[in-house]
Amino acid sequence: MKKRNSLMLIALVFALLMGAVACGGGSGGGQGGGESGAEDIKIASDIAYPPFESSKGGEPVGFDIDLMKEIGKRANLKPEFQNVTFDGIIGGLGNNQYDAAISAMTITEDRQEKVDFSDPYFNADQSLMVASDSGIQSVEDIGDGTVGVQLGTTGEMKAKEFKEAGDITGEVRTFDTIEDAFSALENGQVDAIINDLAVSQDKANKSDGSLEIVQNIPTGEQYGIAFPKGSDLVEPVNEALTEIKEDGTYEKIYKKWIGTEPKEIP
Amino acid sequence: MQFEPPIEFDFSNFSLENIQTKYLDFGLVWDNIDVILQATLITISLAFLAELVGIVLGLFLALMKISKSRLLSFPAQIYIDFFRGTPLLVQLIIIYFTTPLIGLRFESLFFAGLVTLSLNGAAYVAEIFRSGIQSIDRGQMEAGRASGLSYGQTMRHIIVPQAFRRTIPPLTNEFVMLIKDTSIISVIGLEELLRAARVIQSETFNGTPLIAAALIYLAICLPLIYFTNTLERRLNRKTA
Repeated sequence: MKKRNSLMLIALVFALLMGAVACGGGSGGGQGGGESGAEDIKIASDIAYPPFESSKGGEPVGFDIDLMKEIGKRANLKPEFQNVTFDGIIGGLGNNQYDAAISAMTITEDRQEKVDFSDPYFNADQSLMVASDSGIQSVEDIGDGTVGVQLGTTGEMKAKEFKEAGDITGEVRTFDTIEDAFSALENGQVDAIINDLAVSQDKANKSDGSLEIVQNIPTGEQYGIAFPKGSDLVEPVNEALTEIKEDGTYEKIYKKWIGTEPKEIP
Repeated sequence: MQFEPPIEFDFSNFSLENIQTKYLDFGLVWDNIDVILQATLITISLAFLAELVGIVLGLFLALMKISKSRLLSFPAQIYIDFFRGTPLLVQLIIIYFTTPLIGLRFESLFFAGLVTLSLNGAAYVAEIFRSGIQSIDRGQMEAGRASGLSYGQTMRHIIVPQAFRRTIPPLTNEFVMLIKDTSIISVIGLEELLRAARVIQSETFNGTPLIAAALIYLAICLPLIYFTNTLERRLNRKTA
């Protein structure tokens, strides 16, 4: 008797939880999805990476967000953004937790083994950012100083390459978000940050001159939208992307978020 | 209203082979064994040092708290309440990420973690000691004082040594908690066991490093847990 009671209690709690989640999900997904007949797709993004993605009043904004919405319009998809940590994206796509991910993600061979990528949509490079009064001018000046990077990024890979080659001898410290790495640099807890150029540039611009980019680290890397392997979204997204690149929309988004004209369109 | 299940099962990924390659690919762990062992060493030494500092600090706090002087007991009470009543993660973030604002900067992540875990652990240790000391019969203090020892001497030579023996099982339990809590320090970037596993996981997109980390925590904690169980049983038998 007693056991049955506690089982029923558990069932009740579970039912309540399910109900709460279902309500939350329902009201979120229900907004104006139906009329156009657009397909809802779940997009993973690490929404702490301005200018590509950041949160403004609880809504995601940024280059990637605008681009994805534009793609959605043309391919009849309704993107619904989910904030996740960057290092969890590939795994989540592998488990089909998301339909796609747009998160300033560089197309690499390693990642291509796990996920499918769209055509490239952004030419990116790495960069070295330091405190303006640090005296560090290039990677060679870091010596045994500490380099901050974000876990799972190409910046982390590049920093480890430098370390293996002996260009730097200090610690490569990984942070969960780039914002944590930035605040460690501002606090003087790391000596430099290796990270995507456009993102670090954005941070340096907002720092009132306390942080600066001292070196571009050209890598020729390009961002792509990632999908679970074999996804049938790749083709319509690529078609929309080509249109956006050709009809001038790409330049508009680029100018709005990066602040300059794109040197070349990938 | 549209129903969205809070969890989705994708059975195409649910296969024995997938479980094996994603969770039990121990060759991958072997390839990174040096990193993992080093991280394990950091975890163990962090927990061990924090426990040592915590015991010393905690003993003083306990003595302050049971003191008759409000000047001593009140600050100890506040300290213990704060550290037991707030999350360790919040304490860590305050200690590491905000103190540079007032000019105090931790150069070493290990040291920042050590300070946080010691300060936090001391509050729990203090409570363990306090109840240990108060569990010693009042007559012992009276006997000590009657034989001409001062309050401090009776505490030092008679009460605390007896209390210490009784507190070994709860202290060991606290140590086990502390070992597991070191994983929280990974948030600030210290490459202890959890972070090392996550770095390898993010490079390989494989869950095995985390399983390996869990097994290592288990290998450290389980003997301690069984040790306290045996000890408690033995102590109970003695007093019974």
